[in-house]
Amino acid sequence: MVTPETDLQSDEAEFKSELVALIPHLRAFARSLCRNVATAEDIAQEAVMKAWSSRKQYTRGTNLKAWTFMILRNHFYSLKRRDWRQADWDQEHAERTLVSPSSQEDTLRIDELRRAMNRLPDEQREALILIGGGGMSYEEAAEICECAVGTVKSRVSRARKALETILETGDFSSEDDGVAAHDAMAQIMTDADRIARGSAD
Amino acid sequence: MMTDRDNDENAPNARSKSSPNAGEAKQRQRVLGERLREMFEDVVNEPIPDDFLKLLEQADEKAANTDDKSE
Repeated sequence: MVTPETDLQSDEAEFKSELVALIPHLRAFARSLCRNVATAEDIAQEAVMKAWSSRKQYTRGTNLKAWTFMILRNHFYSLKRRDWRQADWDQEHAERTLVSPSSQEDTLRIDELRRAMNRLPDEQREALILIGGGGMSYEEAAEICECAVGTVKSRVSRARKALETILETGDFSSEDDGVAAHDAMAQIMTDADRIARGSAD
Repeated sequence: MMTDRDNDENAPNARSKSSPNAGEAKQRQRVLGERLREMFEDVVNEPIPDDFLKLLEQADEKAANTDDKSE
């Protein structure tokens, strides 16, 4: 005979094992949203704990993956909004290196892709991650992002086009400006050095 | 044997259907899709760090204790 109590226990055990099975996907989602590995790891852990502590709000038989992804996504954005140290979220500043436009096929590296993706608006990036990276359906992504299916489709399409442009032109924001500024400074220092020597003579 | 890549760059019927640029764009999108998937799967395939499982165990114990008290 099954008492309500053992029922609840087996429900919880089932929920837990399903949640554990989703951990690798939640980590991947967090890592795609947030390029700082340590922060991504924290976000994924916190999302798992949030999912566990709100397990009673989960409706059995509905999509647990979408539900947990939604929790992670909401957590990510609330932290991002709250954190004034935007540098933690936009790692592109720290990780920028000189990149030549990837005009040849198959030369696209994952780090290039990550950096290019950082240039996308949040809602386009997340849509592309869920569909293109996580292999979610448009319906699942719509559930996670709490928007219409058509909205997800158009975001993915715009993201793909924007990424293509970024990768084609090698336009990783002000990277070139950084190099130009560096060169200009080097030139100024050389000039100053020469002038100083000239005037000393 | 003809691969997608050959088709994009060399096949005459591809050219008649769409411009060479369109073929190139399609190729780029294919590579983009592969990398996106790879980026995600790389992390999915990593072993779950112990922290995660420990946290869940702790939460489990805590929940068990609270349940005991409330009943």
